[in-house]
Amino acid sequence: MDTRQLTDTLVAGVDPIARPVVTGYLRDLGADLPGSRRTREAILTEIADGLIEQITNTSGPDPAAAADTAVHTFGNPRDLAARFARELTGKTAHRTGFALVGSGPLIGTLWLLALTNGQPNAITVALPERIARMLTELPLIPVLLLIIVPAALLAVAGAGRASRILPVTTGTAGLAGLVAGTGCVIADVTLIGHAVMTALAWSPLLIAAVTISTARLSLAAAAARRCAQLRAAG
Amino acid sequence: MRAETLKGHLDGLLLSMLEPGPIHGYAVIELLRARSNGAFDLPTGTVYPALHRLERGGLVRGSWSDGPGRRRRVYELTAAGRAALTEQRVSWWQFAGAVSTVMGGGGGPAWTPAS
Repeated sequence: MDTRQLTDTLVAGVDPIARPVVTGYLRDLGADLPGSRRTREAILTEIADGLIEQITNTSGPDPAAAADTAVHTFGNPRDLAARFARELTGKTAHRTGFALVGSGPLIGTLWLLALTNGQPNAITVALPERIARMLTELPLIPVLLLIIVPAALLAVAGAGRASRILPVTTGTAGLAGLVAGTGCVIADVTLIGHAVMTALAWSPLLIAAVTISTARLSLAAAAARRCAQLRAAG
Repeated sequence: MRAETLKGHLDGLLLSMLEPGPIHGYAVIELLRARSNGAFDLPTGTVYPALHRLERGGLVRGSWSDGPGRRRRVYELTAAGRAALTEQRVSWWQFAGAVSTVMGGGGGPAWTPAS
């Protein structure tokens, strides 16, 4: 359902005289609201409910005047959209950081096994040595990890318990989500590129690592783009 | 009273409105206005994002109620929200008591912490 259809549905119960004012306000708000379609629909539904409630509670014989008063108390739709954008930035950064922190060790381990299992005497080589070998072959990865891990943790503080403890603004969390997401994209491209360029034997582990990294690459790119858009809108 | 004046106290006020039970956004505004005898007539546009901020921080939980009428977003306090409200109450009474003592007038709030 697009914004026009949604607003028409939301204001269906409003007095026909007041309806154009409410519809106009919701459409202006919808045009400025960032985020996914689902998120925008949820916010518009909530604001429409508040507007209708206010119009219903406003005494007076003129429904158009009641609607004007209602939209006036809600303020400029652009300002309201910007306030919501800040909240959405924090939530999106939190989810991005959480997903990256959660998936990082799993994908890292998969790549470690995929890249070192095929090497000579792989079974007898201790784990720290395997990690050292992999990082020597891919010197960009430790540098990226030094950026991604703190950025992802900072992004987690965009919402939830961490946001109550750490003085992290939604803008900072959004920037951290953008940095962490972009860093992950570069890391995944580096790892996949290494696998392709060095003509490694395509073991099931390597295929799994490339597949999962490709999926994360797309998700991290989308998350980074969302963080950047929401941050700009707030 | 202007929203600027309430800056810093808005979260505590909103949390206290939700203390009795779950209510929707506009009811929060109405309740705040009624309980303050009209003194806290906040711009509606500031309250909804503030409720979303409290939700983002895990202090309130929002959910949709599909009643016979339109869909409504209803907010309720979480355990962390109740703890934050208690903390903000204590902090407010300490602050208000100190200000009253300094400014004089003898009308300071007579309150001692329960614990």
